[in-house]
Amino acid sequence: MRKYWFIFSIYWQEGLQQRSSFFVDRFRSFVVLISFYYLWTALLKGRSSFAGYDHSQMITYILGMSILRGLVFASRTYEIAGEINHGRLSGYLLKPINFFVYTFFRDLSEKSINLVSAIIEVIILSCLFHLDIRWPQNPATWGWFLLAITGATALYFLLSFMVGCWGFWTAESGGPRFLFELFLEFSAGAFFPLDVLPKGLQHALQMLPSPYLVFFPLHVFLEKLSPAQLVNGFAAQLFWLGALGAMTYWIWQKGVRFYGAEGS
Amino acid sequence: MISPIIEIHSLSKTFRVPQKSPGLMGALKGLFSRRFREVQAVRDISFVVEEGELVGFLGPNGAGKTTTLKMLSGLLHPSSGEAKVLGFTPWKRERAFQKQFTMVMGQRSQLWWDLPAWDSFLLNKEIYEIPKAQFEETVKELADLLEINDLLEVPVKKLSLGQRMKAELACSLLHRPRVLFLDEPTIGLDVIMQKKVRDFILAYNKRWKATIILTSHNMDDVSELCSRVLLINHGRVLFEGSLPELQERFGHEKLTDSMRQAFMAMEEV
Amino acid sequence: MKYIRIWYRLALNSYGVQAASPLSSFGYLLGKLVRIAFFLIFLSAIFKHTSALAGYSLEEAALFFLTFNLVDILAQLFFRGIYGIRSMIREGDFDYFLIQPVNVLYRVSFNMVDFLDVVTVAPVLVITYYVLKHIPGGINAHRLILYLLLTLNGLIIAFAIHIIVASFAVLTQEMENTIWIYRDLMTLGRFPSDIYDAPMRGILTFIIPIAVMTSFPARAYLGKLGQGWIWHAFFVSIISIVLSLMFWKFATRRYTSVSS
Repeated sequence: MRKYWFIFSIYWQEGLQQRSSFFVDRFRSFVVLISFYYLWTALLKGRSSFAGYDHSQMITYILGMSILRGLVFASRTYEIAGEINHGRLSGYLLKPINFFVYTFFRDLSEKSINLVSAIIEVIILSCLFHLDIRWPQNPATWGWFLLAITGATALYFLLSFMVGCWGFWTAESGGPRFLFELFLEFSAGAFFPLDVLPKGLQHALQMLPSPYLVFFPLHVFLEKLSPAQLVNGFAAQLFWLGALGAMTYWIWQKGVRFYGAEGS
Repeated sequence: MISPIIEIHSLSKTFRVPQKSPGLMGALKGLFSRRFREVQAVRDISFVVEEGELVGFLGPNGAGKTTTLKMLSGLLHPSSGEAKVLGFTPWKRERAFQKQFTMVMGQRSQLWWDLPAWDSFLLNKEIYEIPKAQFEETVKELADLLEINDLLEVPVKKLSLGQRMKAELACSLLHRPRVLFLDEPTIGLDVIMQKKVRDFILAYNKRWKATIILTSHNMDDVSELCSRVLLINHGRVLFEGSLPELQERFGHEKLTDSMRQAFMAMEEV
Repeated sequence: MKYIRIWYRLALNSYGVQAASPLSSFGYLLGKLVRIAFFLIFLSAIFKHTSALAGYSLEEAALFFLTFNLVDILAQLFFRGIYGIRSMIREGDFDYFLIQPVNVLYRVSFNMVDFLDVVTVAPVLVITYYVLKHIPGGINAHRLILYLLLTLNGLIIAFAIHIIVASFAVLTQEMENTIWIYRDLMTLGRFPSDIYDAPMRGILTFIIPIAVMTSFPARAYLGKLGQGWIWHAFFVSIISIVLSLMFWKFATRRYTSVSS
């Protein structure tokens, strides 16, 4: 177990060492945050609510969106395809280390740096603009929220890992990955709340795992869900975790076998 | 008296290298303040090369050989000193100068990875403004000399390291440069391929009377090719002279033993 | 003439490289188109809940977004190579560029011509035309010319920004993602600059002229841009190009190549 924490620490250091790129990454998410803040403020001007969100709810959604992007989406799983293609995977397979756990800890490191930074950015923005955040009324909500984001993080990890396995069968995974990330962000509600969309589109998206990455956890936080909806949401998360977990495991097994057969 | 093709005078280059303290705390501190260390890569080097000479720079890694070549090609500005190659000051990067020399860097390639070497050749043809007839003639000559006629249409990524090196050499010589800077041209190659590359360099030097500076830490490269050698370490020239002179200075029957002795002596400096 | 031939060779080579990985290229193409489509869906969805965004109708807001895309895609089309400058430096290609008798900036910019952007520009132009037709008043030739001029102007500013970013990469060799600062700041130009409050608008007009690049053309078309601002736009582009080229010259002088 110690070795995985060591990996965590190494990647933390590496992340900080590339200090320019770290600052640039965070600047990026800060800019996105600002642009959406202004957009929604402009949309809510002179109105008390928009698509069922009042001012503080929308603000909270946007801030939460920013934080969750740092937590859920920050990842280095995109490197997996490259590691497979360039044969670096062999190094991991030969060592007494579980690749799956290893990448998870590597990701954890990435996520924690980004999470801390995202929280700082949100605090800065809130103070700068005197933002009115809608905190949960019910203390239990915090617990549910924590659960939801844990599920979301694991869900994204599985999805991304699975896409990374694409590398077993082709060297051209850059484009599909790009498409995947884009589609995921949009359908996760990581750009805007999904209930802004027409009902038909919403229902279609609810059938995918992505709304459970950002949209669902934020609705938990905003206490916009009835107890029944809460239960349904967690059930869906669990379902997807199970289904994707199984799929990822299966693909991984097939991939490694294929990898071994080909040689690097 | 014909002026030398290459003349350098008290050339020096100092780099500023960032420092990082180990551990997590070091990394955090590194976010906000940086410490730098000054590295003197080249110290006060002076020498002269006449037209048609094949000169070798020999020295261990980090000796300053590559940095010197980079200054001579105009890639780097020196911290102090002067140099003239073909009458030009290299770091002014004048077009007329650039069309007359070439640099081959052992581990880096100018060939496009996914495409056949031929496509990279055509690009260089435009860059160096080589007339069509001359281009075709030169390609034929080089391809014959290097035995790569069948390989030109093959994507570079599918070539072996040795084949790539040959294509690389051809690509860099399309414009018939008068001066060649070869930085570790045989690195990573197997013994047979090393010999082939050396033979080619010698043939090129004889055929086109090109002036060649070659760096290597492979002693065979230098012993087989160079009429004159500069031993460089820690940015300084520790010995300059012909190979017989080197032998005489460090004793030993075999040239390579002299060189080995020289190397060891350099380590103690 | 030589430079056109070199561009032609570079373009052919780039095409060859892209054609060598058709799956990846297709993925990127789809991704770019999808991104634009998603945003348009988002805009239409918003307008189901409201009739105006900062005083603009759906078509007008869409015009701002499309102008942003136009400048963004055209900038990528022409200056694509600069995105790869860091890897060029790292892999040693940049060293070769410096010693070859071609303008280094030209070589870097056009080293990669992304044909996907050519494909992406087409639908953007089509939708822009459609939107222009639906804006009350029809297509006004005089305003259209102004629009095109200011878009071109925006492109020049984009070029200057790319040059500055490239110069940083050459100088520090550490700026992994500097170009992305620009790309992300550009996303602020997706919306009409009216949504920003005064201080922000000021920043976007005078300090990092994103508004000048993307909002001004659209505003000029809609008749909402005063003469003074138009002059300001041209002034910004001239100043930025001159400064950026000076900075580039400085950077290539001080370049320390990656040690072997």
